[in-house]
This record gives sequence, C-alpha cells and structure tokens, in this order.
Amino acid sequence: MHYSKNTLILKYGLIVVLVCLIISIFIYMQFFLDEPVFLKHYYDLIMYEDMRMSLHLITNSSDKRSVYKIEFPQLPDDFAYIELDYSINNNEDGYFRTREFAHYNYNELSLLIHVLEENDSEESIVLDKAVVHYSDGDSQEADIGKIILHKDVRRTDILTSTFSESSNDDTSSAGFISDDDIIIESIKSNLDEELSGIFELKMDGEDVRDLNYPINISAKEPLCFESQFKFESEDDRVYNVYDIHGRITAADSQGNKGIKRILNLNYYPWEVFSNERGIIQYLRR
Amino acid sequence: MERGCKKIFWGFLITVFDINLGHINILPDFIGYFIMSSGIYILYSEFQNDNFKMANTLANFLMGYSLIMGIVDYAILTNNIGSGLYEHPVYIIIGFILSIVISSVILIMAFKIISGFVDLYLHREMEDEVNILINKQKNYTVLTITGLLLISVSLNISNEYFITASTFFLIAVNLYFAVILRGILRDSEGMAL
Repeated sequence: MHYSKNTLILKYGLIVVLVCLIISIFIYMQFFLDEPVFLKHYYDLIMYEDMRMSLHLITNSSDKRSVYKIEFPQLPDDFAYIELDYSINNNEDGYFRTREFAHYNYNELSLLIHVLEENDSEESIVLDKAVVHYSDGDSQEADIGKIILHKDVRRTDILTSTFSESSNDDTSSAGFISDDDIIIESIKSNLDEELSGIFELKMDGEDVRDLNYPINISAKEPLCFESQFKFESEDDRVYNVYDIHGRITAADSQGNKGIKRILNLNYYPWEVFSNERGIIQYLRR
Repeated sequence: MERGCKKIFWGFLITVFDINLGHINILPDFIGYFIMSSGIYILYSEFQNDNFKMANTLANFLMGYSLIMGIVDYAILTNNIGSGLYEHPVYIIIGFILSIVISSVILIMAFKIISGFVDLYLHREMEDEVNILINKQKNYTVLTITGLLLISVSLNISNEYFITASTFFLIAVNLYFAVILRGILRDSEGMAL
C-alpha cells in the first residue's frame, strides 16, 4: 500500500493518544474531593441588623449543586437568625462569587444575620460548625473555624469616624476624632491570639498591643489607625479568612463608656487562590 | 463519482458547522453523516474498495451516535431529563472518553476516505495526484493526532487560552480536511469510473 507509512502514523498516533488519555484520567481522579472543603473563618463581629458575612468553600468543578439552607447548631434560637443572602447569591452556581478552574471551584457564599431579642447586656457566642444542606438533598457538617458574634454591645458615638479606607493589599486605615476629652481604655479583639504574628494594628504609628492604657485623648485630636495582614512564607494561616471588628473601649469626661468599632480589618485569600495551584497546595496540607 | 464526492464534501461541512435557530440546530450532525454515508456508498458501489466500505460503516456509526446524542441533548434542553446537579467524576470521564473516541472514529473515517481515493487514483494511474493525496493524508493525520493529544491533556488544564487555542486548532484541522475533499471533488469533476 502506498499509504502504509500513514497507516503506521495513524496506528501509533492513536496508541499515544490512548496512553495520554489514561494518564490524564488517572491524574484527574487524584484531584477529586469527596465533599466540599470549607476554609477556616476567623470572625469577630459586633452584629447589627441585616449584617452580612461570608463563608468560603472549595468544590469540585463538576459540582453544580447550590446551597439551599445553612444551619449553625451552636446558635441559640433567641440570639440571631442566619440565612442565605438570596439577593446576592445569584451567580449561576448559586454563590456570591465563584472562581472556576479545571478541577475545583473557589466559592464565596453570602449570609444575612438578623438580630433577635435585644437585651441590656452584651452577649456573645462562638460558632465553629455549620450544617450545609445542598440542593440534591445531601447535607454536610463542616468545621468553619471560629466565628464570634456579639450583640447588645454598648456602642458609643463619642468618637466620630473621619475616614475609612481599605486596599486589596490587605491593608486598611481609619480615622476618628472626638469633640470631648476621652479616655481610651483598650483597643483589642477577641481573636488577638489567633491573629498573633499575622496582623498588626497601629494607632498613630504605634502597635496597639504596645500602648500603655488608659490613654488620654484631647478633644479634636485626630486618631489614625492603620492595619495590615502579613503572612510569612509557609504560614498556613494565609489560607484562612479573617474579618475583625476592632474594639475601642472609650469613656468620655462624664465616665460614659462604650465601644467604637474599627472596620475593614479583614483578609480574604483571593490572591492565594487566584490559580488552581494555590488550591491544590491548600488541600494537600 | 462526482455526485458521491459532492455528498461527502457537503455532508462533512454540515458536521463541522452548527447552524442554530435559537436553541435548535437546523442541520444536526446526523444529517451530515447520513449525506456522507450515502456519498461514500455511491463511490463504493462504483469502485468496490475496502477503505470505502470501512468509511461507510464508520459514517453510519457516527450517524447513529449523533442521532442518539441529538435526542438526548434535546431532552435535556426541554427539561424532560435532568442534566444533573452533581456530575460524578465517572460521568465526566465517560463523556471525555466518548469525545476522544468519536474524534478518533472521525479521523479513521476520514483516513479511509482518503485511502479509498488513493486506491481509485492508482486504479486510474494518476500518480501525481496519488503522491499529493498521500502527503495530504499524512498532514491531516498528524494534525488530528496532535489535536487529540491536546484534548486528552485538557482535562487537567484550567487555562482558558489553552482550551480556546485547542478548540480553534481542531476547527482548523477539520477545515483542512474539507479543503482536501474540495481538491478531490475538483479532480473528480467530469471523471467517470
């Protein structure tokens, strides 16, 4: 046959394709997740009505289920009600945001918090588990990290916000000023231990952990807070999600105390999961 | 012969291009393969050749497969069957294997069509056309194998540019086969067996 050489090319070419296919399938199967993987969330939030918070999870790229219900077993019935935020979980996969890759999707699910039964004294709860119900009837109990919710916090207006900025390089800044002489008794959060080594909050250039409290602040004296999340290489906490309401506990000249929040103290690992390699490294830890 | 060649050419073009009215493909692939099959059969009935016989068998197989897949796709489109919320990897892999297998069958069918024409040209002592056609057959085979290799690795690649480039590459290879057929059609004009 004049085309016998071409027949050999065809035959051996298809064999090479078959070998490549088998290897590809083997590799693909290695990446498959038995169930979605939730990131660890470290939130310290002072609740307000209709506050939003998000949960981040990794799913198989073939998983087209949406989350139709979420429950928090540790959440008392009279504390707050948390539901899916249907108004913004409206991408085609039923999430707020999704980043798609060959094997995995990185998803952000938005939740809405409704505060119930307000009382006189502050109450707090810690959530570290969530039960997620999917649209095919499956359920999953997930370890979500440590989410601290506070309600009935005595807030104060003795400090007025003058500016608030955040940047996608994981830094933020906020300014406050008071019309009255005030005393700052503390600046902290309930996750200071978990944030040690990765988070820095400075007031007027000094780390708030190094300040000597109480601090006297004169009327009209501007206060500038700067924050930064920074991770050393090999620090696995870079894969976590952080959202902190920093607390400034302050008293005015009449002794009226209250809490002022510092917002935008947050870190989302979108940069780390900007490519699938980051997800694979996280799942292999 | 010219009639058979024309059917193969136009049938192949129908399988390459999808012309949609809304969600409906007005010229589904099984029609293209049916026309190809009838064209190959005309050639086979005029020039009994194992290559044309095999090509005809493969064209009929592809016609049946694309008809079934067309029905399944239509059923999914009209929600008569669910497309599945959670695709177990087994189904994804089966779908992937099927696409490689079908592409391989198309390659073998095209290869056999060209081989059949090589035998026909040899029968008519058209040596120059034989050499040109064998060369084109080699090019088409190598290009298609390359395309199949690109598809086989794309299962694990999330780069959009790679997947887009692979898709365009395969479309270009299909158009190259159409050009080969066009050349054969031109050679066949006025030719009798």
